[in-house]
Amino acid sequence: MSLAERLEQIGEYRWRIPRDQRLGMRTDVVVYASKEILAHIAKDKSLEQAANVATLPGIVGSSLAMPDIHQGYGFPIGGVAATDCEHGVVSPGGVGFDINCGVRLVRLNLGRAEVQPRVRDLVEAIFHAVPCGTGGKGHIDINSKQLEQVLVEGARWMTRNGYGLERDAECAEAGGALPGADPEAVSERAKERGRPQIGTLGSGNHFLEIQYVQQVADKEAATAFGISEGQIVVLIHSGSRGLGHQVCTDYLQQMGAAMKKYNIAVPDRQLACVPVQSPEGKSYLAGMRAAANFAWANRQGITHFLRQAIVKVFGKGVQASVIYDVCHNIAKQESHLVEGRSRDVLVHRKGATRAFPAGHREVPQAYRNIGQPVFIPGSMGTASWVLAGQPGAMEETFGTTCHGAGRLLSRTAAQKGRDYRSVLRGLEEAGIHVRSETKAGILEEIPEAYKDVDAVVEVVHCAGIARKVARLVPIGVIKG
Amino acid sequence: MEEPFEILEHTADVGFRVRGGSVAELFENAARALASFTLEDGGGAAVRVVELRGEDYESLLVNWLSEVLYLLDTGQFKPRQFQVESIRPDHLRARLTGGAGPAQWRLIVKAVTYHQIEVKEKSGRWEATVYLDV
Repeated sequence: MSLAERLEQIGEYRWRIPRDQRLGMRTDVVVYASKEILAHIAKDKSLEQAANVATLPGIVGSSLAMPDIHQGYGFPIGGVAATDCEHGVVSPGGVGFDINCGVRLVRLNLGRAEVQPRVRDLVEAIFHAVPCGTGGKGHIDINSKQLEQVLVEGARWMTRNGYGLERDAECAEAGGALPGADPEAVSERAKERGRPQIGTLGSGNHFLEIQYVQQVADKEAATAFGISEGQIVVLIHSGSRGLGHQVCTDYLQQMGAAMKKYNIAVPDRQLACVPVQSPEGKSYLAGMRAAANFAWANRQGITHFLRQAIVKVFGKGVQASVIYDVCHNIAKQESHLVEGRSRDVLVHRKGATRAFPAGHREVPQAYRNIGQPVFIPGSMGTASWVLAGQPGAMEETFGTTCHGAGRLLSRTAAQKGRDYRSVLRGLEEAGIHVRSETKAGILEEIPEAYKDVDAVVEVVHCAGIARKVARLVPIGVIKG
Repeated sequence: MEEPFEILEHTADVGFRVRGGSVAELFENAARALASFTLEDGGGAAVRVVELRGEDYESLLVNWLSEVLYLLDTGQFKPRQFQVESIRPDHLRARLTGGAGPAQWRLIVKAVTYHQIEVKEKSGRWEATVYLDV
């Protein structure tokens, strides 16, 4: 019997694989999904991977699967696992290679009517201002010493050095810099890969999208986030580039020997892990935080170039204000109530977004009565969502919700039998102007390659994890 | 001639299966596969010798491909030809030939993963499976 057949329904949008259904599971798997989404989830190995995560030593609560879950490597993408900070493990695979891959949303004081007629000009201006695509070298030259400062200060280093406004960093998760980052825990190779790439978009599923607010679902929250129907926003999706990829590669290389030392066995080598409190665990976390800070600096650099492009097309009177910036590949030390008592846990979010509710002290003051802003990018050419964290997230998911639509098709399957020009024409007919460095970049990310983002968001909304605030529809896309 | 590698389906990433008549040839073909996914053809006659360690053939293969990826990504020396001079499960020595010239990228590979990594020998033929994070 497959794991999908062993699922028990425990609520309208909640399903469980009990821990006794597979050898080695220390806890249950809980999946957040509708029946329709569950049918997609059952098609790949994501449930098996969520069950593998349930074997991690020191896991607290359940191994969680968000509705956008799909097969990853080691951890499923859309997976959440909290481990005990004293007696549990940290797994670099639970963060992924693109450390602090995340999303930043910037609002413009322009409406669709003003931007739509000039969207081609804006897309072209952004495409030339923001380095993107394969191996792109950035426009920001920093020396080794400055890079070390970036690894500690994150987005704040950038705003301090002329790449943005002080307020930008304040409007990012963790203020755009995690404490406890150590540049010494980042290899020279990682620094060498990352240094020329600060302020670059990258490729793959990374993109920058010009969108308009198509529908407001929660007026009070939308007002607090500074958006209203018809308004233009820009969504930036990027991460820590080669620096983060190398940090993960370096630590995975060390994990094999370390796991033997600590007598840890895992069902998949990509799940390699060490005790949080071990020298190897502490070193990885210090390096991971540095890479996370690099990612916030990277999105800050992109914001700076975005503003330059906006000024070029619309003049200096246009304001581009950061609403918030969330990461969806990270491990963070947080306090959560577990079975009635507060525990310090390391929350691994692999393709999952923090969603703290109203009143939480880590939610910026401006949004404290609303809940933390959460951004869920859909696939190219479909909608994205602005959500707000709900109390249910603290009660059930270690303050976490989904991160995107979730892939359905492999990249090769997405390209098969499809013509680049007809895909572009279809998007143009839908009013979306796309600029990509490569044809593959467009074909791999076609809307059909992903689940329906509206259906994914419906699950977290109805489950009380994060509530709908606004639906965003693209008019311009810049892809690597 | 049949390519010594084939692409495998994976929801999020790219995988490939590679073959060789010996373990050295297997590693050479795996590096060629990675280079061909990431860059358009290029030349160069510069030579670099690399030595790597691993715990077994699987981790050695991940370390070897991660080394090639690092070189491709940093761009000072983009290897095109791969000659494995000596190999055992915990050690590899190889001669790489390539150049620094500008090369057109096809695909950014973020990293080489341990996901479902496998190196096996059957009747004197070697085969490996590797997934890349892209």
